[in-house]
Amino acid sequence: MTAVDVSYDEVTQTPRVDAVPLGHLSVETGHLYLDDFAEGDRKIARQLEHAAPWLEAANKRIRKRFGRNARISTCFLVDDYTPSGSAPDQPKPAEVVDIVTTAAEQAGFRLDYLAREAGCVVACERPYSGPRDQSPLADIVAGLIVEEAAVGANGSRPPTAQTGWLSNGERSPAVAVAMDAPDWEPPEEFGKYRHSVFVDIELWSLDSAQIHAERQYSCSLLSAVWQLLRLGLLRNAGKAVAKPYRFGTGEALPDLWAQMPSITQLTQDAAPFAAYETFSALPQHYEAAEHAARIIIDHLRFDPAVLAQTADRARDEANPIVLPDNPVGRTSHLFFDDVHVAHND
Amino acid sequence: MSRTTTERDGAPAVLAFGEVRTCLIQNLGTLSPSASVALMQLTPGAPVSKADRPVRRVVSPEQVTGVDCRLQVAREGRGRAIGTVLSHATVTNGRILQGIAHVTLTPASSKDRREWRHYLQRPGVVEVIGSPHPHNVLDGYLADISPARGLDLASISDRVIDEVQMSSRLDHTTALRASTAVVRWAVTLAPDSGPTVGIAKSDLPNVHIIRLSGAPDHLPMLIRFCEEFALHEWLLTTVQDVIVPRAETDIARDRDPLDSLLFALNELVPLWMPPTHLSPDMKVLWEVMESRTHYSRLFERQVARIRDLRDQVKIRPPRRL
Repeated sequence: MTAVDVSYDEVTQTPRVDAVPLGHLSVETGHLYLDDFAEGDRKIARQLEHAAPWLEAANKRIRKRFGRNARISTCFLVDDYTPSGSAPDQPKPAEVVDIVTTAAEQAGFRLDYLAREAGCVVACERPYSGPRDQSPLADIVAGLIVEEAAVGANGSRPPTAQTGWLSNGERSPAVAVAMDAPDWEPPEEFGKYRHSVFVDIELWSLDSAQIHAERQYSCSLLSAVWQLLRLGLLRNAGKAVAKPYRFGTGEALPDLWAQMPSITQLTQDAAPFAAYETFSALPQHYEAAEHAARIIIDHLRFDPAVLAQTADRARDEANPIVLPDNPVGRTSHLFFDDVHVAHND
Repeated sequence: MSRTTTERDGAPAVLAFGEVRTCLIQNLGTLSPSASVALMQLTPGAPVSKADRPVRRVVSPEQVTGVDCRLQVAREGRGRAIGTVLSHATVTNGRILQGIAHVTLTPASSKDRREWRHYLQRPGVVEVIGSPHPHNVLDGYLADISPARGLDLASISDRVIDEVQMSSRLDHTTALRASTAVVRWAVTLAPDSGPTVGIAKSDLPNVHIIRLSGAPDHLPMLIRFCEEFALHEWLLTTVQDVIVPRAETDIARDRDPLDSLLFALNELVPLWMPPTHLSPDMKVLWEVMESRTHYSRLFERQVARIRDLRDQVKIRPPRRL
């Protein structure tokens, strides 16, 4: 009797991880509230004019490093999540797409993708999507946060991230209005360089008036989701999320923003939406949220399979790319000043 | 401040610690496969692993807890552990819940705490600053009973159990009053060491201490061995110390013991499934353990006793039905 080798395996034991298409660079050319479209295209035109020369410079740099065929895509984020004052006269998706593409053409480039912020809270794969093709992206990212351990933390106490706050250090102890008030201690940044820059980030808020209130996610957390989508690092149980949707010719855009896909592809032959590097050219007031997003990303545990997949793909490129271990090292930002020329219009 | 490092594999692990808690799910009925999966979805969007044969086993995604604490070191030496502890829950056949916390220890790459990203690159690893003798660290951990002064894996595995038991998917009624069993384990890792196991019943009720050794490649198997040992130990203890004595008392007092006897036969007995199918190594390890403890034979004896009691009740029903 010879020994027989039998193996038995169940597919559900080791989930597989989808790959997503990756370009070399994803450029965010702007980020506007729906209310900003109230005055037509003035704000967006100014924003895209601002971004255009930097986009050109970024393209040049990428082509110089990775060759003439480097894959570069541009995107634009519309905030349909922040409650706005004037719901009824909000511009419809079709109107915004027209305004944005025209403004980009005037600024001298093509806009490949339009994304919406509520689509970063819950990813919608297609127009009029239902629960079956949605993924709770903000919940997923919030669930990946691993708080930095305070000195002395041995696991006895539950982590405090459940409170909806994340900090990059040790908070100052609460000073109670009582005789037993502790002496004030300064907060401290973990791993600081001589002096602290202590940051405490609100991840979400809850409407305390309701018992089963939904989390209202902060700009900081949604910026982190947005960056991770552009880096191609998010999955839902191993599946790719928020794949860009291209409306066919003759297919009308929905009337409501909530019925739109998370990411709409505007050009026929666009480079992939996600990329090895992201570059964001934004107005100044986004700086705090973007800094917070970097701190959040620094506190996430990524699926090692996803990281390895991305690193291997980069290494296998025609011009091999070495990615840093830390995903934050793949993002870059530019914040405009507020100086502009006085027009006589 | 933050430096990019490319030392993803870091120093080799020298020790691994863990704690397993085993109990019944607080639900009157058996959970369906889909309910088990939903219950194990502790992290949104992270994959839940499940296997249907030989028993239905659903495993939650790993949870990650940051730590930076003093190690409890026996005899002499000092150490500070910085990194993350992993924990997960498993549901077996929609009836048994286990909460597992585990961590591996490696010598630290620097004298000071590094940036957090560095520790997140190797989840489930704590780096030890200082150079206490591994032997002393292991003994220190095994003797550090609650409240833990060093790494508190007991609290972490407890929290996983609590999180699951508090779920709104459960009706919070128990089919049987049985206690929670604890298995605390520690592995000495060395590149060319063969797997060994030493099991000791603690003087604390329902606590077992396991000392293991093996090569780093064996670690997943050794962790699984401890989970399976904990499950079978819980089954044997529950049948032997809860079901049988209770039924005997009931019969003596003319009360009907049939419910708990049938629960044992229908729900607990089918769970006895030694993990010898997993791998040749596991088969060898389990069989050697069996040859010392005779667990399967003890269990069979208890099952036979349960059947006897059931038959007695059928032949001569108690007066107070």
